[in-house]
Parts: sequence; C-alpha cells; structure tokens
Amino acid sequence: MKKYSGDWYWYYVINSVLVILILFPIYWTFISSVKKPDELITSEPTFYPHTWTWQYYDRIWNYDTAVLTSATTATNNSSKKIHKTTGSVTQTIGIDDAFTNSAIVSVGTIIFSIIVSTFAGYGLTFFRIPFKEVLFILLITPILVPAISLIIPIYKLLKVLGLTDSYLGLIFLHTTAMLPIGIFMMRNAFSSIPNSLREVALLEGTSELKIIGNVMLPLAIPGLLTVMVFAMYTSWNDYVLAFLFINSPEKTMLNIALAKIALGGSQFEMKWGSLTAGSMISFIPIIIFYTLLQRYFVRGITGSAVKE
Amino acid sequence: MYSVDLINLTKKWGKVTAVNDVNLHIEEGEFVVLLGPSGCGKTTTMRLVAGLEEITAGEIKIGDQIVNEIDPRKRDVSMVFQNYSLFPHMSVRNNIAYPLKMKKIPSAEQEKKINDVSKLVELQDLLDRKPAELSGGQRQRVALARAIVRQPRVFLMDEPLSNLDAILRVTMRSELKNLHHRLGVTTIYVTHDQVEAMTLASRIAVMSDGKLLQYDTPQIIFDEPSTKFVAGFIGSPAMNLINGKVVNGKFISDTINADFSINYEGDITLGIRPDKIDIVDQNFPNNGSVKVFSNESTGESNLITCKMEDQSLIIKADKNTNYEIDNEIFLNFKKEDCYFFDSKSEDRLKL
Repeated sequence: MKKYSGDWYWYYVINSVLVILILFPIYWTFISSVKKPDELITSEPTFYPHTWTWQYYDRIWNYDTAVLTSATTATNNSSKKIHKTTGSVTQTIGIDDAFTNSAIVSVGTIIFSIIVSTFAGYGLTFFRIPFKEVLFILLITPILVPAISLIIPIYKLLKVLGLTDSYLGLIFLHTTAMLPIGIFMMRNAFSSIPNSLREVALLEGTSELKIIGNVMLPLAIPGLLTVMVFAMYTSWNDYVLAFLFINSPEKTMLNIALAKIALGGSQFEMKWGSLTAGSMISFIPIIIFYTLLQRYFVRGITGSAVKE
Repeated sequence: MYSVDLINLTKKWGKVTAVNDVNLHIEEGEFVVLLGPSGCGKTTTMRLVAGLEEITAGEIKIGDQIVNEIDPRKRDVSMVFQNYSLFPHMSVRNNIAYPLKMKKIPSAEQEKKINDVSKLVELQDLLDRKPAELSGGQRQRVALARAIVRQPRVFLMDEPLSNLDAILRVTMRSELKNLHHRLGVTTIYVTHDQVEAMTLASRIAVMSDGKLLQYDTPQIIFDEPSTKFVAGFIGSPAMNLINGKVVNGKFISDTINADFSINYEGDITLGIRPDKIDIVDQNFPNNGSVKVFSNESTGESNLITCKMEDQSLIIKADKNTNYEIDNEIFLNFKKEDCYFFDSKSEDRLKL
C-alpha cells in the first residue's frame, strides 16, 4: 500500500480553500441566474436559490425576438434581428447571433494561431538563424504589454489594412495577442523532440513542410492543443478589442452583447438575472473545450511532450 | 558502389576548428571507422559528409560528384544515430517504410523490400509494434533496417552501439560486420571505442583535435602507431607510455632505465605494450624495479598495476603468477618491443 506523508491533510485543506475561492464567483453567477427577481435583488442575499426559475435563460436567448414582437409596428423596416431601444443609443443583437459571431472569431483565431505558432516554433527550434535567442525573446516580450496601451496604433494599422469592424481584423488582433504564448508553447513542444529525428527525415529527402506534418506535429500534439486552448480563451474572453473595433450591430461579439443587454433599456438598471444567465451560456464553450483538452493542457504547459 | 573523398576538409565553429584539413580516401565498399576521443571532430566530419553541417573549406566527393553544395536531401546517404532516432508515433513497419514512401516507391515493392530487410535484421515478428515496445537492441536493428532499406550510396553510423549494454554490443558488432559483408555499401562509422574500431574496420582513421593522425588498416595501426596519441589510444589495456630522456644511448626515467644503445639525445617517451614487459628475478640484469599497486586477475592473465612517480604502468603477466600488493618487482623489456616518441611533437621516432 502507498504510504501517505504525515501531513497529507494539509494538501486537502489548502486545496479545498483554493478551490472554493476560485469556484465561488462561478457558483454565485449560477445561482443568481436562477433566482426569482424578488430573491435576486434583496438586502439579505441567499446562498441557495429557494425557488428556481429558468426565465432569464429563456429571455436572454430569445431577447431580440421578444423585443421584436413587442415592437413589431415600430421596427418593421429595420433588419430582422436588430432592435433599437427608444431613447437609448444601445443597439444590439440577440445573444444567439452574438454567440455565433464570437464562435467564428474564436475558430478563426485558433486556426491562425496554430499555423503561425507552429511555423515560428519550428523555425526557432530547428533552424540555424543568427540571433535566434534574441529573436525569440523579442517575440515573447509582448506578453508584458497590455493590448489596451496600444489601442491607437492598432486602430491606425487596422484602418490602413481596411480591417476595422470586421471579423478578420478581430481575428488578427486576437491571434497577435496570443502569439507570444503560442510561439513559446510550440517552441517548448518542438524542443523536446530530438533534432536527430528531423535529420533522419532530412536525409531521406523529406521537405520541410512534410517533416512538420509527418514527423513533428504528431509528436507535438499536447503543445498544439495547449495553443488551441489559449487561443480559444484569448478570443472568447476578449472584451476591450471587440468593444473598440467592432461597430456594426450585427457583428457584435458575445461579451459586448451581454454587457449591452445587462445595461440595456433606458432606465439604467442592471439586469442581473439576464447578465448572469448570459454569462453562464458564455462559459459553456470554454468549459467543454477545456474539459476535453485539460489532460494535454497540463502536459503542454509543463513541456514534456515527447522524450524517447 | 561509391567511393568517398575528403579533400582538405575544414570545419570551423567561430574560432574553434572542429575539423582541421582532413584528407581521406575511402574505397568503394570499404568500412572506415573514424576513431577518437569525444570532441575530436569525428562526428562533425561525418555530419559534413551527410550535409548536416556546412563545410568551411575543402571538398567532399561521393563517387565522382563533388557534394559540397548539394542539399542533404539529395546526397543519397543514410545515417544511423546513437539514439536510434526512430519515429515514436510510427510502427516498426512504417519506420522502415519511411525512406521508401519518401521516394514514392510502389507499395507492392515497398512490401517486398520491408520483408527482405526485416528478415536480414531479424525483425519479422515485430513489424507492428511501436518503438517504445522494443528493447534497445531491437530499436537499433530497426534503425539499421531503415537506413539500409533503400540502398543508399553511403552509409553513415554515429556511435550506433554505444547505447547498448556490453553483451548486446558484442552481438550487434558481429551482426554489423556480417551485414556490411552482405550489402557491400561504403560505410563510415564513428566511435570512441577502439575495440569496435579494431574489429569492424577495413581501415581506421584516428583523429584528435580535429586532425587526422593516422589512416591505415587496424593491424598496421596497432603494430606501427605513427604518434604517441595513436599508440596510447589503441590496444586494451593501453600501451604504457613512460616519459624520460636518452643520455649516452641509455633510456633513463624516474624508475625505469634501459640500456638500449639508442642513437638519440634528449627527451623521449618510451612506449611498450603491457604484454611485452617481463617480470624477472632480482639477479637478472633488469631495467629497474617498481612496487605493485594492484593485482587483477582476468582469468586468462594477471593485470598488474604499478604506480610510478607521475604515471602508472600496467603489466599483463602470466595467469599463474602471484604478486602481492606492495611487493617490489623487477622488470625487463627488449628494444624491439619498444616504441619511441618525440616528447615534444609526439611523433614516432624510428630508433
């Protein structure tokens, strides 16, 4: 039988506290999304909903349709899903569409990130490039620079490229934001593969692209999946860039839509129920994605992909 | 079949010269071993032939073709690495098939070649396993099979046996020799193990500090080492090298003297193989005495180590002898068994 060290229970005590601290906000969001209005807005908060309701989920998912039906006469000339609230500048779409928008941008970010991180990581690992280490450090330094501090140059750049208010522009920004960590991950993954594998393939006449495809990527899958998780996380959770660079109502991203819905209406009242229900919906893809790839994610971060 | 020529081959890493003006002619079908201690440039030399490193100066020819500028993909050489370098995600069959797939050989022919080769290296029953499920010797066989399956112009091996245990190494050694005999492909083999070099090579190239010291058949290298380094590197146990000087034709060192009537004056290194030293009675005219430091029996002989001032001396004595530690023994050796080396240049002196 395995012997436990004498103070094994500290492991549980400390980790339980950490888990509670980390999960509590999510729990709070969840119970807030299922409480009835009178229990939700109260001076004595309850830690467990006494009566459950799914009305916010129903309302937020069918937000635009509900508004649309109540205001059919006023908005018959605007496009179907867009609604304009009278007396407010808020323009938004339903979160089902916003969900799709965010999904498109996230998938795009994942694809671009994988491609660029793979090539960059491969080159930085196996090619003989002058000042390779310096180059690598320069490539990963932007981790330290918050995107918000570069808003104006980024805006000008997008303007020149004609990519403001477009999915592609946002995909580029999200990809750029996650590349430092992506390149770092892929370089780690490739570094654990012996150089001689590449050399064997080389002597057998394999092109560089085929070496990546046939030999390297199958061995760097944990790293690759980690990059995917990070790309998904970066893109799905972004608020600032999506807020600043997407203006068309029909292209609104999920996080923005949630905020607008929560603050929507002319009364400046926080719609806590709708916001928390929307947040729970927005958690779903991240939770699924992470749960599926969690195993690789840990391996990818610790960088022990392949060792013979 | 192809010959290989290295002509004034030089490789520099910044200011460090890894391979220094090496000239080597390898005949068609020859098995040449590059031998030397680690860091002597032997692996770099081989990688230059493969094209994995760029040549600083000189020329490499495979057959009649100068390959300096030819991409490693097109040199048509194959290489076996010390760590085997099998593709871990592919089965044995796919590992062996890899070179054939890259050459786009039809699959029926691939199948036949894989079967032939796997029979040759006795892997028929393991074709569907992954490398991780194989033992070290089996992995080495897969690496060999992958290298020979497409019949390259030149076969390069970088210390292929050094990751194997001692017994397996001896077995694989004879298998390699047999394989080379059957295939007849020109082979360059890198090792730091002089026993491997002696047993496998048709010719040995001894290297040190990037320079080629001697290039000849194993027997000549053993019998007629051209420098002190070669003499000390070849043979097991190694040749004894005793620093001393010649005064009036007599060899004098701290403990050992020999009245050889040598036609030389000045500092000199005397070399003698352990089995050529006789242990004699005190009364017999001898060349000095030493104290026994240890006495190891190998079954077929006794290895006696004696410590002298700044070096040790190993004597291979008859198995029936028995010399206790700290006993004083008296030595004798003949001039025809001795090698003399210039103390400065380390070159052999024929005296």
